[in-house]
Amino acid sequence: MAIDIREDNLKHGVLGLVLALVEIIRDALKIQAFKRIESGILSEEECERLGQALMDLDIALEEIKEEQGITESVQAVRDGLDDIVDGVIDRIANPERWREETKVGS
Amino acid sequence: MEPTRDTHATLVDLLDRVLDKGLILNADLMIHVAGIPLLGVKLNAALAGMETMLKYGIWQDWDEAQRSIAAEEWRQKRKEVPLADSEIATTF
Amino acid sequence: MEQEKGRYLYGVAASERAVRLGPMGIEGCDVYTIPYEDFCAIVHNCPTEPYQSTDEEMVKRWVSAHQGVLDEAKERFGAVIPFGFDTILQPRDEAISPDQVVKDWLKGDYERLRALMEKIKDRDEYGVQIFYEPGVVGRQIAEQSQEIQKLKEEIATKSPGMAYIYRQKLGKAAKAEMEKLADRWFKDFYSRLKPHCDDIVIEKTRRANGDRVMLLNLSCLVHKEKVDSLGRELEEINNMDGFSVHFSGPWPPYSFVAKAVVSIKGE
Repeated sequence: MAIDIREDNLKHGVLGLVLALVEIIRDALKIQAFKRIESGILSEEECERLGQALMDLDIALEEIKEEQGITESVQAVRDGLDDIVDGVIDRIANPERWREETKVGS
Repeated sequence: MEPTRDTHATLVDLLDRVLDKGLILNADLMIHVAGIPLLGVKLNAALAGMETMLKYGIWQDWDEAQRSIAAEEWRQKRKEVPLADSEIATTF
Repeated sequence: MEQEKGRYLYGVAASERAVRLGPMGIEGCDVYTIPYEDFCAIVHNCPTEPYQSTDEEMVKRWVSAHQGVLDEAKERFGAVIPFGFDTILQPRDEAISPDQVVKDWLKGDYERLRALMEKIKDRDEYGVQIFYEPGVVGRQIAEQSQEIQKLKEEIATKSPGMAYIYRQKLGKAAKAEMEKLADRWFKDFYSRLKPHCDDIVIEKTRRANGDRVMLLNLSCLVHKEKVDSLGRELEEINNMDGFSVHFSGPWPPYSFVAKAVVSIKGE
């Protein structure tokens, strides 16, 4: 099978993956950050800086995706990951349904 | 409302049923197929939502609205002009 | 010399007739029935290999042919218990003819087939999917939620970083509200549709495209006399603001004829 690798579509594919990963890490970061904010440990000023930093991160990611024209690719990767995770959970919950059948007889 | 069968969308409905369901024969009599994907994965993906597979929902709308506000704020911050009420209101 | 020892199974019909349906099967194969008492299996002869392909058009043709045979059988014989695609019977014993193996199987499973036939007689399967538009519903939520209104007011007074944090909170609140509502709608719609159906299977919702989200995906076994009333109920739901309905069918009752447990010899 011939794979057509050109500079632009290779970049596309790899960048899409990288950005998807970065977004997922960013989401994890957000969860941690909000836990701290909710906990009341942080001062008003620290909250402000944290919020600002997260906002800057959001903006930066959006700009990269827009500039590189990969917004849809990134979404597709994340949707694909969702499907894979769904599939894994399904397999764990319904082993009967997913047991690989081997060819019987000849 | 009348049920339909002959549109493109209902081909997906048919595939969901005919590929995955139906009466099951005794295993010792049957031809077995190794693994699950009987058909090219491409087929299922292609037919399960032809045009695009983008998952839109309010969460995308929310995110976009938030980001456009944030972007605006960032620009405003440099000019030190407060956000107008109307700009917040239009996101919801 | 019979090369084609496999029997591709389309379904089982309530008929004692041995007839040819003609070359309407997959790949134009000749379809005929093998009866046992008051049932018959609908088959064509094939190699003992499953039909597999990555060619979309070919698979669509096969699947259409499979469904076409079932439609024809329903026309002629009434109720048909459908097999899924690629259910191919392979005799293990060289000495027994494949047609005889089919007969033996019909005999062995007779009681179960009879029970299934009773269950599906005069009934068809219908697919029901209900979608909602988060944009439409989201606006309603925002307008009606005090928590969200309060947050909106607070956001206007905050510095950029804090405002961002509050907007995230607002997003979470609206999402939680939406999920609660979705749960309520699901239960409400399900209970409205259940009385029109003899049986229901709750299917996984699929990723929707565009701005619709699939809320509910059902396979319904519906008596032919109740299809109209089901249609009317769905019409009402379809007319609700922000909701839409996809109603497909009639299908052979694929979702309602599988064995509960797959029994494999020797296990």
